[in-house]
Amino acid sequence: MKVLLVEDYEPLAESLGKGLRESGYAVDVSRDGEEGLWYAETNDYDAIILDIMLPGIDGLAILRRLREAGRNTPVLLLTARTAVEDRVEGLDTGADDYLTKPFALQELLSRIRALVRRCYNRRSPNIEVGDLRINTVRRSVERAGRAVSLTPREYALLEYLASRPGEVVSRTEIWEHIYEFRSEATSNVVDVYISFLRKKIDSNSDKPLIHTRRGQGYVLEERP
Amino acid sequence: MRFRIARGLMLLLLVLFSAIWAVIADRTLRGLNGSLDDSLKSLIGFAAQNAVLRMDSAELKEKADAFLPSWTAGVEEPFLEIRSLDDGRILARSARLRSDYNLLGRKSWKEALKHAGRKGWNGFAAGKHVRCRAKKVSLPAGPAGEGVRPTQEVLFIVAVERDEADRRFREICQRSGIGLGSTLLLAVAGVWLVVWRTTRPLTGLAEDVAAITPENIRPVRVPADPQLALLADRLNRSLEAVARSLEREKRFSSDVAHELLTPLGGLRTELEVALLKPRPAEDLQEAVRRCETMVREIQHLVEGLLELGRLEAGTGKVKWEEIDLSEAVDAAWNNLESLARSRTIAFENRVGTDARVEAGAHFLDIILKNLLSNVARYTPRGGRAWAECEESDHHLLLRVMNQAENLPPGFAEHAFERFWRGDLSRTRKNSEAGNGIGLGLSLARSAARAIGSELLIEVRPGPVVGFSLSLKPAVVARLGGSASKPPS
Repeated sequence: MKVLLVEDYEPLAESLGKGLRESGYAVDVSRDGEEGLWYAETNDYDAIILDIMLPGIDGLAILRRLREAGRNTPVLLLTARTAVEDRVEGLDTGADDYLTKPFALQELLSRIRALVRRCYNRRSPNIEVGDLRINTVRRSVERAGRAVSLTPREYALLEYLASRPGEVVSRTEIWEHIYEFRSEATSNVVDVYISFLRKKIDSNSDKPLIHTRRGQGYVLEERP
Repeated sequence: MRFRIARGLMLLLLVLFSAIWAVIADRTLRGLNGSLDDSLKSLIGFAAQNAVLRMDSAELKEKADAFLPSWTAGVEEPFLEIRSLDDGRILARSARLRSDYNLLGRKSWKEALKHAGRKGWNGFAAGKHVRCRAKKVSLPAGPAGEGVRPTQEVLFIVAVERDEADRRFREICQRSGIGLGSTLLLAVAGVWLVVWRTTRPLTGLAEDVAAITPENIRPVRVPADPQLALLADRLNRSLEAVARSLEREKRFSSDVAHELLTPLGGLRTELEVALLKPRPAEDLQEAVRRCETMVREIQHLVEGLLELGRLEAGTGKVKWEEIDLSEAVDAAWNNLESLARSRTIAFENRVGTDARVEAGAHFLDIILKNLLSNVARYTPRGGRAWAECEESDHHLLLRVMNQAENLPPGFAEHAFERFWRGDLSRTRKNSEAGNGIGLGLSLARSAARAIGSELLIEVRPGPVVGFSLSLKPAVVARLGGSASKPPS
């Protein structure tokens, strides 16, 4: 999953970006309001973490413009402004969640997971497709009761496909959701990781779950 | 309040009118008694002139009755009795008195004697209560011309019906009471009206003031009355100033919280990420270094706030000493040289080597460090900055100037506000000694005021921007160094 972090305080932007990446997210970081707005309008994120006090254009103005443009990306406001009226204003402007600094990293990660679930209309942290079970909290995968060991990138790819079960997902979409904006990798690398994933998920089963739709993309689903 | 004023005035009127009525009643009563006294005097005069003791009762009655109209003195139908004080025998009575009448009432004639004079007593006559007055008189008992004239002590008693007296008393009291009562009511109504009209605008003002709370400060209505309008106008101005002050404090508290919570948030996240999984020593070292930077930032912010608090409270004592101004500028710039070099900023100290001032060293240090810190951080890359000094009106005017670009809107107005950085982000760059976190100019200004000076902003075409400070010279000497005019 891919997250946009818009935070101007450099030490926090760096450490939080690192923490999110190590937790399996692809993270784009912007330290400026104008740049952050451009990122948000140009790319498709699974969640946006947005500071309010930003140089240039502030976080609430960014949020307002995104909502007015019809973009429903879940947004978590991250700010040192703790007053009730600030929280109310943030949520009423269109934020999905509000977290004040200083915060516990695990709480932030948990709230991001909740936002992502909501984004894909899921209530449970577990995803099940056939006999494939993914625990998004522990980032663990089982197929037919047997644990499957995946690299972070493989897991990110699988989680994204499993969040849209039965949907054909294009190579570009996959790339946009598991690679950062400045990544030098191209969308062709997606094919490589699909093949890695197939070897680990489908090779020991007579019911493959990852299917190719030629010219369109890939789909994760159980077929009879 | 209006009710209290009106009530007070009405009570005063009530007391006043009650006192007047009491005086009238008392005078009426005295008047009645005076009539009785006059009657007594007349009776005694009559008795002296007419040798009443030698008259028989019939003759006395006849003469007394005939005399009555002339000396009743306004007392209608008085009763008359003359008693001997030897034995209490009634010597004469007026025609209206019968034998069963008892002017003495329950008293004996001796007791009546005690009450003779101004006191009087209540007796009975014709089934009615009468008010009696008496006087002891010595009258000749025998004819004149016989040497020693024997005398007889007699008691003259005059009485009048109490009902009559009461009636007259009541009549007078009623008339005066009605008159006084009406006057009182009119007076009360008048007072109430005046008080109501006078205090009505005050009531409105009081209601508006009562509705003001720290969370909701709003102007009061301005009454039509010019005096009250002036009061309301002054009050509104004060309320405006209070509202602005409260807003500033609220914003300041919010800003302080934000300024502290942001590096604290960074610190916490840095530590939690470091502990997320096992890491090599150099990664942990790097994380610790970053934490140390943030801790120093927090420390500087807290120290800056404390210093600002001390300066604004005026609790810091100024230790006046002679200071070499040029050396002070060099010393303050010393710590900023590496930062300035990294941004290729050229700084020139044009303050003459002979410029010596009298100031508090600690305070001058705060001023120079913060002004020069601004220069190092905010002069555009490759720009120039300088410090200069000139004599002006028996003072030394120190200026710290730098080339600038795109001055933020509202700079001249807000530059000294705490945490104001020209944009909303509070983006910090290498904060030290309160600067970079938006307190530098506030500190410098407060320090300037502590040594009796004022820090002023100067903006020149270029743009060139800076601050000037007037200092008391220890020695007004020639100013050395380069030309004092800034480069074009």
